[in-house]
Amino acid sequence: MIILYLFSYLSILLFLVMVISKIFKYANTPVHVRWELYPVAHEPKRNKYGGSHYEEEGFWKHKAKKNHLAELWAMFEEIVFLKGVYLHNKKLWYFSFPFHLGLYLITTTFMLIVLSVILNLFSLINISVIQNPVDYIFHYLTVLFVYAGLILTFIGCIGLLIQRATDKKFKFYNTPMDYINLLFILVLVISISITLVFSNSSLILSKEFVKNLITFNWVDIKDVLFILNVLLISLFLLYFPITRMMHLFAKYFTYHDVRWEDEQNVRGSKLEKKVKEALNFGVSWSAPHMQTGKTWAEVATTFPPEIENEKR
Amino acid sequence: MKNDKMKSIKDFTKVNGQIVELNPEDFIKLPHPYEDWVDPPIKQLTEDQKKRLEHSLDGFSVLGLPKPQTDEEKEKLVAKFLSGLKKLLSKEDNWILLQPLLLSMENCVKCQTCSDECPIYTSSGREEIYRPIFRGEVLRRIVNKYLNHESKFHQKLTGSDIDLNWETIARLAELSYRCTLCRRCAQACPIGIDNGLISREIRKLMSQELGFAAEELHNSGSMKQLKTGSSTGTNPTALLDIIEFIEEDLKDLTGIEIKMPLNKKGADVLLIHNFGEFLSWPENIMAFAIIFEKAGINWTMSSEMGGYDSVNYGLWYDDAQLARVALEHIRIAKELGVNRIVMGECGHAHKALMPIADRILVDDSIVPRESAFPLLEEIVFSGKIKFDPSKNNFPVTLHDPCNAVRAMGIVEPQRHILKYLCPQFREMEPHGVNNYCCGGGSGFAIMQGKNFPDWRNGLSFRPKFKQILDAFQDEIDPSIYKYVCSPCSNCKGTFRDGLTYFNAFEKAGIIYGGLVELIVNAMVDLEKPFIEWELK
Repeated sequence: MIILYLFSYLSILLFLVMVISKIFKYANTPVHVRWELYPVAHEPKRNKYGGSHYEEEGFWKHKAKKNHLAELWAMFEEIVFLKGVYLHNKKLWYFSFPFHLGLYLITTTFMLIVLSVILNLFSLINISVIQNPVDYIFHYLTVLFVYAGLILTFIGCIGLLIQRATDKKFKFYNTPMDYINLLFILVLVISISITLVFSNSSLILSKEFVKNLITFNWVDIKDVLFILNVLLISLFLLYFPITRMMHLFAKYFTYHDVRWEDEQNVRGSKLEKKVKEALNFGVSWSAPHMQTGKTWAEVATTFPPEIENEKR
Repeated sequence: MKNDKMKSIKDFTKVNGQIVELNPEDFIKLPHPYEDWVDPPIKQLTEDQKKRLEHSLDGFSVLGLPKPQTDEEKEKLVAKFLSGLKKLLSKEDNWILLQPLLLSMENCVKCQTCSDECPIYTSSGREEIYRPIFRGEVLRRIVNKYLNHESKFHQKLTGSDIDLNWETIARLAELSYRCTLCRRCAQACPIGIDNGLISREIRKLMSQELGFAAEELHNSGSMKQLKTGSSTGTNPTALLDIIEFIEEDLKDLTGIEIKMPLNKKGADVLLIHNFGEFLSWPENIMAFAIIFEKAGINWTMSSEMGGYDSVNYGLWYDDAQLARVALEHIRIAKELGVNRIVMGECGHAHKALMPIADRILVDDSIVPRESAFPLLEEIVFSGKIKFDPSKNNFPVTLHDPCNAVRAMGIVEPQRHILKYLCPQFREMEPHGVNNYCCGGGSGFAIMQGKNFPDWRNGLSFRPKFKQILDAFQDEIDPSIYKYVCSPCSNCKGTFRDGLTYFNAFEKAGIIYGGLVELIVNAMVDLEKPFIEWELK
């Protein structure tokens, strides 16, 4: 039994390490040139039609205003409703939307379970028996989220698998991993569903297992189906970070750091400092006009040798 | 999916000979009066060109890559490509776009949401190699296998068990020049993957490491600009002659005498035009001068090397050239001590010197840079000039240049002007930030070599032409003259060639021109119409 607990710790740890290192990798890339695309969500009022501060004569005389609330709303619409897919690829949205919403609900279920355990550790609620109103609220919210999540994910997953296997535009690009990603999730959904249906106490068992993990109290678990689920979820945690499912985290950067990133460079600003640092990076590109060995600042301020020679 | 030589993406590296043979019959159909339009046969490369040049992608050659003669030569090129790919993904060599590139390379889930947003892919009859994700997928699999050194098992899982050979590199290089970098695909992507960026970065790798770039962009483009002052090869002495000629023409045409202000120190505005305007559309230079003079703007142009041609082709293929040209523009502004640089009607010049150069400039090089559109809007609605909109009482539609609109968000000022000055203004669909590229973006407008103009005029311009025809359907009779307002020099170049290809003036009475020409045409002070109804 101890192996099950150790494997769970390991998978959670590796999942966190891999996800954090990926986030760290994206967050620690150097400053890049502006590469925004309009509409930019935080443009006050102009975001409705895709306008920007460049529409204003003398925009550079003052700091551009940003509507952060509008940005949050745009993210919410995109993450929860998959607005982009809805607008541009409706056929896919009919399955992608329930699939993603289902996954969000299942993830919320996990978070509710962890929260229940934490509250239980502070003796604020019960997890093994449902006695008071707060216990009921937590329990039935968890039940609602997990069943809705499983049903939606199942429908979405089946639909996406069928589309991927039958639609020519997907087939041309399909790789085994594309199928494995969906099949893995499908197996997980089926496995969790079976466990929930056949074992009335599996939700309570989940909370107890999480509590055991947190308190390092590695007690025996006899429910085979439950053990199977723990193993599958642990494997999924290990598998997830090596797949393109990591777009879940990358999306923050593609929107905030690229698509909506429109900060103006001003003298004496932090941004200018970062640009100066980057301009001092070395160049090793080897085409003749690139002048390998110089810094970017030197390359930018020197003409290619053939022009310099001609001038002399 | 039409292509039957490829069953999967791996075949891109395996197919012998040309992968795709384009047939104009597959291209999207055009509305009235083009229901029966038959495209002329696509010009083929000559036998000699076929023998010498790589053309195995689709029979076109933008880069004119010579075929390597020996296996050793091929191996060296493959090795160089891989070393360039490594640099493309490194912090020092590619800080300029590393984060957006990594995000796009590592997170595409191939949902195909972008596919129908690409006007080239859809209007080609859905040719697989033109699908937005195609080139990115090839590159990803090469990175997985050759740079990430995935295990054989992992390669099988991710489909990265593909072979890299010279033919693949040559095809990929050409394929990066079948995308106009309009970035509609990126705009539609729910994750934010930018396939336009991937095309641009492949071009960069080819240029900065292997020295492969389109002749019109590099040797006859940015290199010529750094050497002579303009990508057209016009030096400062020749420029003065041209300006004199324009001043005389302006007087003949309008009776207005203007001495173009040159190198005026301490002016408020340094106006920089795309030099194409001087040579092909001098009426644009005249119109700007009339408007600025009548409005009392304290402005100047430069006749010094580096200050009179706003083009910056590096934007499309090479970071070093991009930075060098941008810094030349800034140098001139600093020498003149102007308050601000104002970009004339040129989309890519807007983007290169405004948002992009923003992260190249430091200290006193951070000179304010503005678009002409808000300034023109300010002038038109200031009351300083009297207008009679009935002078523009003909159908007008507006083309949105991708670089100024989708990439910079300058959407309304030009519309505000047109809605006021052109009673018959109508939008084309889609418009604003959702516009279609003119088909000449990313340098295609100036690429006239070999058989490429047939690809541009017949294919990449086609969706834009369809939009124009749709916008004018209610007035399509050729006796009713119609105006496509295209406030971008490169787009105008595409319109010139594309409308001529489709014989659009004779068949539908359509011409094109800039924004300032419409403003001047509506001025009460002008006795004769400023716009001439001919396809120039």
